[in-house]
Amino acid sequence: MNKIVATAAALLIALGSIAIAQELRDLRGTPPDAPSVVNMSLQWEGREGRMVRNYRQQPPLIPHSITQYQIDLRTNQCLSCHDWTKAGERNAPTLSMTHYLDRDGTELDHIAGTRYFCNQCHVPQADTEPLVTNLFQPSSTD
Amino acid sequence: MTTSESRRTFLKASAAAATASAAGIPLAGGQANAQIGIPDISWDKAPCRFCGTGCTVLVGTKNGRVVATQGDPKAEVNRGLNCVKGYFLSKIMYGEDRLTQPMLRMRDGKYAKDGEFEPISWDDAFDIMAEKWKETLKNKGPEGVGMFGSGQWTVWEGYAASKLMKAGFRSNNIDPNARHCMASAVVGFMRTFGIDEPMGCYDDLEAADTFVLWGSNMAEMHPILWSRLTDTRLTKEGSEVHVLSTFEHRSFELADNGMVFNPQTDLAILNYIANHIIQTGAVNEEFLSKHVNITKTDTDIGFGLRDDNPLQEAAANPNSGKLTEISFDEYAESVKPYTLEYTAELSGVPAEKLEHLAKQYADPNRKVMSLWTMGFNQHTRGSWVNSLMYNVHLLTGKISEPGNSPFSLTGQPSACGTAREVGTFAHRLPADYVVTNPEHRAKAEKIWKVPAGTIPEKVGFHAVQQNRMLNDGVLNAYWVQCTNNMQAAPNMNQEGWPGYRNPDNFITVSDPYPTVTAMSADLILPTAMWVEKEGCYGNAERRTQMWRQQVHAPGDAKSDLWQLMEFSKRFTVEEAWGEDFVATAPEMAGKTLYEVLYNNGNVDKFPLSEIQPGHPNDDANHFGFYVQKGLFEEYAEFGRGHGHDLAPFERYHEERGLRWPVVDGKETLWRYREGSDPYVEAGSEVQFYGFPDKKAKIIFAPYEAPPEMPDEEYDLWFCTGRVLEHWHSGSMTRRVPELHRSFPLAVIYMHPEDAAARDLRHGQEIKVSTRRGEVTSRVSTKGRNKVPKGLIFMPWFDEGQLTNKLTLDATCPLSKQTDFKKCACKVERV
Amino acid sequence: MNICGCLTHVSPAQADAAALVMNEIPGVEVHAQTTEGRFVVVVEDTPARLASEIIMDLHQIPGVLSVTLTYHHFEDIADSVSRPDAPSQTTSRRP
Repeated sequence: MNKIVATAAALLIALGSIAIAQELRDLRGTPPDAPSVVNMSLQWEGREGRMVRNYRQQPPLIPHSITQYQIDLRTNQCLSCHDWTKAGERNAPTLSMTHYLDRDGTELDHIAGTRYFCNQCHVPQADTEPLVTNLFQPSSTD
Repeated sequence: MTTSESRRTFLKASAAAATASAAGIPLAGGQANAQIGIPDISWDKAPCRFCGTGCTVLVGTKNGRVVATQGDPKAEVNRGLNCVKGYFLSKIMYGEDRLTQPMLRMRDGKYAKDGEFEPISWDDAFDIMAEKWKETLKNKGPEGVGMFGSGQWTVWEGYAASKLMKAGFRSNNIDPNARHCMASAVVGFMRTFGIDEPMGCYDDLEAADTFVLWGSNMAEMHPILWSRLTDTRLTKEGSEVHVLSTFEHRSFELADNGMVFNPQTDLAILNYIANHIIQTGAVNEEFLSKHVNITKTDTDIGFGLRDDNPLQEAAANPNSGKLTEISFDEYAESVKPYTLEYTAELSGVPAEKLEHLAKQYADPNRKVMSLWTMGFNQHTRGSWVNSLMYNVHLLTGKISEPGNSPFSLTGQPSACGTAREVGTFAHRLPADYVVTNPEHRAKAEKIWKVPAGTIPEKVGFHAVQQNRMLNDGVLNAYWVQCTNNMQAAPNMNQEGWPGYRNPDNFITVSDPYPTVTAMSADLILPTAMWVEKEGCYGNAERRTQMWRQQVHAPGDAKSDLWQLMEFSKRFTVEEAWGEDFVATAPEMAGKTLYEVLYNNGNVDKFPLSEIQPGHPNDDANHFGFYVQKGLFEEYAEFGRGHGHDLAPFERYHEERGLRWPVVDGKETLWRYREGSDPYVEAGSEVQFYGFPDKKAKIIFAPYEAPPEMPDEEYDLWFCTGRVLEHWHSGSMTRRVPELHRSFPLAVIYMHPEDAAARDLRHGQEIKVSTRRGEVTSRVSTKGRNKVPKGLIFMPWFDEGQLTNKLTLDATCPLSKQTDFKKCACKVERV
Repeated sequence: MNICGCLTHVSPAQADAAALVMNEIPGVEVHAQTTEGRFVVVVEDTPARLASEIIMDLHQIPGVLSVTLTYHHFEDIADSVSRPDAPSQTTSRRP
């Protein structure tokens, strides 16, 4: 039953996109030889509150600004709240256990070097609408 | 999924089921991320769609859709890790504006260059396209047709395209976007070693003591390789990271020695290091005498501009790559002017920093890995600077062994595998063969089973030249696949846009999405992408990786391969080759290009029964044979026994990729080194076998200034580049909401004092202009890039702000790769 | 490693917020949620905390009224990546 519903939904989506394709529009919205489109402010990282993950393997998004947080050879300020030694007292989510495994799978007490630069995977979110709707659907039993 | 993971998944599903049943709660309708307990997601491997690192991901599919992706723990490259783009791969195919049917510019039911896009059938699309191509072939001959492809093509797509153009239309007018990306690296390899691609591999990232980034922001552009490098830096005592760039970027966060140099002076810095090595007696003389020839290259070679450009006319030796043998002493004299003092002055880098860097290379006890990408390659002396890098490694013998590794990184997922190895460049054939060599052409004609003389000798139009020739009306029938070149190519206002919109030209663009390039075309073909087809990519460490088709493409979207092969059915050899040439090969008379190129006993050799059960393969089923295997095996014939050996096809579906040459089932980690590379003869230790005498070349080249520098009117350097969150012009990443929100628009990074001098505040709207055009944007005086005074940096992913309206189409005269990093601009308030 | 199934009662008004918080806690997955605020929650060991400790943490989430362990399984998974630093599985128990 679930399968049938999902297939029907996929079919509707496919049909829907055919109808949409007839009004062809790029992300720019004006012809390539027209002036630039800069309608967005620089107020990034405006979203607050934890954001839903689409699937378990997705790295959590950052619900706060990180512009003041330093990550370099000397320090990693993300860890001052999110490391397992601090997360409890700072009431912050702890790094996933995978972050305490080195490249060979050895368990470590501190974050693995391969995971040191948090912003390779975790990014803050601007409070802005998507440029186009994304029809991705996470798996569910519905 | 590993055994333990699947066991845990099962146990958790059991825990949920038991609890739910005890409480009388139905499990259906759970939270979205409760999917772990649901066993009906099937996982299969695929290389990531984005950069040249070549991470493997596991793609989770359910009911014909991708529902999740994760890093593949079994992959040697990334060991389960992805960057943020990789983690969101699951969404790249699901932008609502996916193209699902061909669209033609029409008016009153007929094609019109100035018409509006209207949907048509594939049959009608190929009808009009073939009509235009035939008309052009008749009027202009093979010079009038051309194709622009991609390092994002799969290996077999690039191979099928190259074959279609070079043997089908007998035109070498095919070039990939990889020309913009690493053509200078290729020329560097060919001139220094006589064979393309790095000798080392990613294992060097754990083996080296010192890492030097030369014009590479790995932290953002190759995050997974950066994470391996970071791990080594943080865990290996005494290891060091040196970063050179024309502005400070994220990679400087890990730098022990960060150096911001004046644009173009990397040429001088490399010569200074060579001079330092010689002056301090650090030359590995035995290595040098046994394995290296010393040469110098012609100088004052112009800037790859149009021939009538005054700068080009002023050059003494325009486009010359001539090498002259010199003695070691002559070489030592040549680099002698590059003293520490002179170089520090010219480059703007403090002397102690330069010296500290030079000592890393000179110290025989330190293993050094040099890494570079666009900073070197997008350079009007890109071919030179690549070779200058090798000079330093060759002088010290620090090459072809773990940790001693000059390493050219690539930007696209298959820049190496497809663009380079398959030979989609205007001058190349598969496996480093070239069209200008009669023996190479004969070999290709034999493997392809086409008549002698089919492949033309003349080098075709390279990327930048293609846009110029469209603009001039020389190239009239043009097909762009798998790349967004209107946004990516330089000098859009003066070359690209007028070229595409020239009424003499018929432009076809194949893409999954309505990109700027697609919108600039006359015909748009909807394209299947990534795991909607079976594919093969090759990454920067010579690793060939395959994936199987996992879902179907939406609507009428078809793979590039399907499009190429179907289009070839529209032409008889008489139409494509002309009656005269067919008369020399009467056995071909009346055949279609499809029959000649793909129904040739090679490509159609393997039956559908060899396809892995349980996976769709729309392309193979359509053509009635295992087309991917046939193309791969025909292609592999070029490289076997020739230093480019590939494993049997099926092996790649089992492995997380293998690094060529694969000889006797074994991959090669370090080339040219005895014991590691099977092509090196016993007892010789090292052989650079790309050249007949098995020696590499030191190539001296001097510092020469770039063509356009800041002056009174255009008073700032203009540098373009990328950001971590977007790739490939943003055509996929900007359709993923999370990636879009993480970097929603391009900004101009500017020094706070430069901003203040122009009365600009952070976030303000500004106008950037060059001699070629203007773009409005917003100024950023903080954030991840800290530029020096006198330079601005602009990422070009944002199609709202077409950066390449500003850039200059000056190229390295040898590699024909554009310098997107240096031209002169001014910034004003809007 | 320990894997536990817990029936959790949450005040309906705070149920959605609590679900979000739970899903963010490493080692915790909400597998089902009813309109009356009854949750099926699966908890497993993480390197930092044992499942039993995480279950105690669940009580602290605003809106959570009770957490009842209804299923427990312990298994030494050979190539498991998850093994708590804290001493052993002695704290595990069956209901």
